[in-house]
Amino acid sequence: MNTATFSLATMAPAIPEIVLSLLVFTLLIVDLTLRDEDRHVTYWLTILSLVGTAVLAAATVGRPTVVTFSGMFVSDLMSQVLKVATLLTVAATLVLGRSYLAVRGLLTGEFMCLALFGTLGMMVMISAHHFLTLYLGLELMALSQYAMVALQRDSARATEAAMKYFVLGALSSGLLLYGMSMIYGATGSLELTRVAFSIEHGQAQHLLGVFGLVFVVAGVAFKLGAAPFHMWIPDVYHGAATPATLFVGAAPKIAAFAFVMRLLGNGLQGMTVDWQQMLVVLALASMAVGNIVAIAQANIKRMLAYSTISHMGFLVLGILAGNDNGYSSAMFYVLAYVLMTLGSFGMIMLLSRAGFEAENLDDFKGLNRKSKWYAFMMLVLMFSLTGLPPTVGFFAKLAVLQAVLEAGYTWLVVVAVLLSVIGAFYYLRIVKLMYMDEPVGEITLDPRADTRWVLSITALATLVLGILPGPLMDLCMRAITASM
Amino acid sequence: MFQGYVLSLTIWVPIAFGIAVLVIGRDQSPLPARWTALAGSVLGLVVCIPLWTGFQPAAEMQFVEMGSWIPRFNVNYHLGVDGIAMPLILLNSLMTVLVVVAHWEVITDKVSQYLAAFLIMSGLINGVFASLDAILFYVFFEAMLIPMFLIIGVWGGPNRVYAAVKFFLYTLLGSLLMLAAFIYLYNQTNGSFEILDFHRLPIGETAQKLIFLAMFMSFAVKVPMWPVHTWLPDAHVEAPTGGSVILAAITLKIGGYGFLRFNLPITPDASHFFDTFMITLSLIAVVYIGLVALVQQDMKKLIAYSSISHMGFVTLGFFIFNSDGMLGGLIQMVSHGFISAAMFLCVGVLYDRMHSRMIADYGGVANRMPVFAAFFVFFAMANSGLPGTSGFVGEFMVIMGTIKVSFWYTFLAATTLVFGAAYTLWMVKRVVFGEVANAHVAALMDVGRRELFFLALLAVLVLWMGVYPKAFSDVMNPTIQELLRHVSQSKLG
Amino acid sequence: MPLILLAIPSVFIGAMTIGPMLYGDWFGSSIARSATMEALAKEWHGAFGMMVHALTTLPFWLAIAGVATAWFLYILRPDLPAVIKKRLGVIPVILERKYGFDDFNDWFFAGGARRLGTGLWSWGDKTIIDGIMVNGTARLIGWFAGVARGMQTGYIYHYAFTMIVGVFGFLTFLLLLNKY
Repeated sequence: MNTATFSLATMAPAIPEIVLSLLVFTLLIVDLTLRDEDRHVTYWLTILSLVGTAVLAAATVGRPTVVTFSGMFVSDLMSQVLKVATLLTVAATLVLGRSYLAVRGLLTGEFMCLALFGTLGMMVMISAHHFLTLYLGLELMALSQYAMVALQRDSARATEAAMKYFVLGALSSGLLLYGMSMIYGATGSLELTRVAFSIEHGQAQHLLGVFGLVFVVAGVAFKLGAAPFHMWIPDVYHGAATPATLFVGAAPKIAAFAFVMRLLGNGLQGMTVDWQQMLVVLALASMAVGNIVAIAQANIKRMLAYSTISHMGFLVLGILAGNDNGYSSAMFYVLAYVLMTLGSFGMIMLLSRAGFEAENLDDFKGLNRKSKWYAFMMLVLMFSLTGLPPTVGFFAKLAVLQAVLEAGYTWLVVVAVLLSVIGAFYYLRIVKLMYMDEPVGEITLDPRADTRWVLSITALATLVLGILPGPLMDLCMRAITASM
Repeated sequence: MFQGYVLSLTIWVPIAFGIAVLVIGRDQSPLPARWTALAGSVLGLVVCIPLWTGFQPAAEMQFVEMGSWIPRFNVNYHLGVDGIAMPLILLNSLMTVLVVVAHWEVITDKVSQYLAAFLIMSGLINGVFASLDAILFYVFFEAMLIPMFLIIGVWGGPNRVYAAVKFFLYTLLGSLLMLAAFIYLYNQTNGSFEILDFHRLPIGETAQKLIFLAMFMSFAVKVPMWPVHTWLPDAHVEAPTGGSVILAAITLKIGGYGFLRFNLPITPDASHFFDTFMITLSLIAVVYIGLVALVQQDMKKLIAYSSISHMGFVTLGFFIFNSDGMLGGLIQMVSHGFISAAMFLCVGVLYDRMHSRMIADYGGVANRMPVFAAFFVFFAMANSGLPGTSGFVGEFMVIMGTIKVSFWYTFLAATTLVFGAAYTLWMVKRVVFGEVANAHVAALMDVGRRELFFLALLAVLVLWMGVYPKAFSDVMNPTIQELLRHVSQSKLG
Repeated sequence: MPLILLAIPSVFIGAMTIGPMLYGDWFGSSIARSATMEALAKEWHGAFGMMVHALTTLPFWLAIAGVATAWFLYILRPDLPAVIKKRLGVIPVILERKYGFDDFNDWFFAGGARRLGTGLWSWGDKTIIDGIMVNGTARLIGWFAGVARGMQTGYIYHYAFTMIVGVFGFLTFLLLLNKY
């Protein structure tokens, strides 16, 4: 299936990536020529690039699976769908963060280009069919993220966060690379299909493979933010400027999910029994840490960081079922989660203004008095994060729980459910603050219409997908069956 | 012409009007919102009428609607009612009208949101009773928590936030375990969330017991049964009058309904296995809670505890497995819907004037509010089970049913007649009769036309059901007989 | 006075409805008729029959005697009660207090029930169920959250160490599990 010849036809499946990289380089040059007060041109060009690439990527959806670049790159339904989702998520991230960045002097060419490079990395990860492309994409994404967190130079908190992120990220990359090398040693290949083939036919050295597996899973768990590899998340989420946080917290989760799918589903499917055990521990630890520690947070960004950890636990829960049903439910979960994250961080940025961060829980007090509409949007988002119908969060949880129960982990389902009840408390607290308390300070809303529209659409989408989840669920199922 | 969509209309008309109220609602001029809400609630009641007139006294599901919702999990938009669900839908739609009427001059803050919450909740509750698909049921069941949480938390009394959060988390805990049970059943039926498929599915003994307990957690919290009842007095006391009415008259019934629709038919063997356990809890509720109600200083808390005690009768009736008990329990549910709503509305009438719920702040109200006092005494009599009122019928039938099972059950259950009369009448005596207690009482005005309307309406219903329960039992009986037949057959093996 | 008002209609309603209610078809099929009720129904000859039957029983004549005595003592000779009271010493006191049954009832049943209710409420509901089980769980989780929060020290080397411990934990776990 590997075509060794290099021709234009072999490059066709990667057209979105190629176009995006060309656009980034163009943008870098264009940005150089602009004066500081014309920075919004860069911003609009970035949005245009993202949306344009998304349209290109959307045009590929439904094409048959192609492996190209000597088995390095795959274009299948899962990657096609996830790329569109990633591109739109990044675009939404930038629209939501625009005013926030502008008033803090961060609406620069650097931020935009880094965002685009990071997106490119994610796309490479999503389409990777080889350990090297996986790693390449991961590093491209991660390095852009480190820089984006560090970009707010005048903030000590941001610098500290970037430093932590970088050091720990380097450590996790090291673990990942080490694990990949061991798997190479065990199977004699870095190409996913061959690795899978070698394991399934008993040609691999099992012990070495298991060692490699542990390191690889640790590296992936770090990217997802699953406990006990989660420690960076609260500090980075809290320290970074909110758009950077959102950039770290939203789209990369899609890429990380694809990464896990490629690695465990495509490559190491034969070792399911081994990684299932690890994922059980990861899922349990993440849900426990995330849901319980979030209660003790007064800062909403930190709280959402712990909420992320608990949601990643749920995501891992879906993956550990180890079959198409589980994978597709995890895919639905990650898409739902990204939507909710966009909305909730978007809300923080909506309430922030020059010199003021709406990052404390108290800043949400009495929002219903100021704006019924946005209080309602936040209410929908919070109940969606809780997993209450009729929001998309409920169906995401339902799908995952069904897969896990089918895989025979009844006790795990009961524990997950009990921990969700604990988790419900802190989402509920935000609703309480908005509706049942009186405002303490002045509440201002970002006046930009496009930001408001995107925010409302994201929040409403969680509601609409909660009432009509069928099509997206079907799409996820088709994507997984076509790709696994 | 809408015959095929009656149930959908009962669900979506209130919800649509709720959204409309939100859209047109302005804080400065609440009147349009009020009239829209009234129109919506009345229309919601009107679309229910075919349910009563077109209902065939038979056991099978009627007014069935079926459509695919989520093909991936084979979830269907499947609606239908039988003799258990239909009266509860009517009850709910009626209560919504009363709540809208009762709020009129009382709620002045965020009026449109208040009304929208009630209308939307009304639609969701109808959905709970009409769903024949487990996920559809669950969606309505859980979505209902959101408006209720806001109603208690936003418009409630001083300790409202604690009560709202407690209510929410308690209910969520129970219902999530039930969700796990549903998913298990889905996997067992090879991919069906149809409740009627669950009814037919053979299940092993251990699995039945676990499923029973999971669903028990959910419905016991809702009923509420001892010892998971403590959210109720808090929620009732802190909720605004309308919230208390809906909580007591409707949401508690969802627990009882759940036992009849889920626990008994899905896990009949486990139901028989746990029957002593259930009866014990019910009797504890009757006696223990009856005693606790006796010493309450707060009228709403007293009625809240009285609700728990009366609902103990319902679960007692269900788990003695005979037709008197089960029918009695069901009649008691509907009757308690009328009576508890009336009691809470009465307290609301007093609270609106005096802003106190403490019994000690009142005395001699009858001297200033004779019409009101007459209604209050009447409903109190009904609450203590006076023959000729609806309160008597259900209790009497449950007692008749228990006699066939055990003398001691009957003996303990009958104490409710003593305690019920004691706490209710004692409260009424201290509030209504005697000398005028203070200057505030002396300044009281009797009920207005609006208040007279809902009190008289409920009084008529209580009397009607009390003297002619046949109208209700004829509707319920075929379903109950079929249920009893179903429960008597083992599903093991 | 209100009692009389209640009594008069109840006599009539009772006379009219007792037949259908107890022995007829009032409740329809909803109440199954038991054997005892069937036996009673045989003795049933209608409301008027019951009234006639009452005339032949002792309690009826005792009641009539009571009414007569009262009429004699309080309407015809209102001076007599004081005289009788003086003559009989302690007995009227006992009688006036109804042999102490009311006091006993008040103290034992009403008071006891109230004390029991208070006890169940403050101990059962407030202390054990709400205090320990509900709020206790909440406090426990809150406490645990506070403790777990402290693990987030902010030091990179703590974080890195956790990750390494995690990796070693997994290695040990898998090696033990697979019994290499």
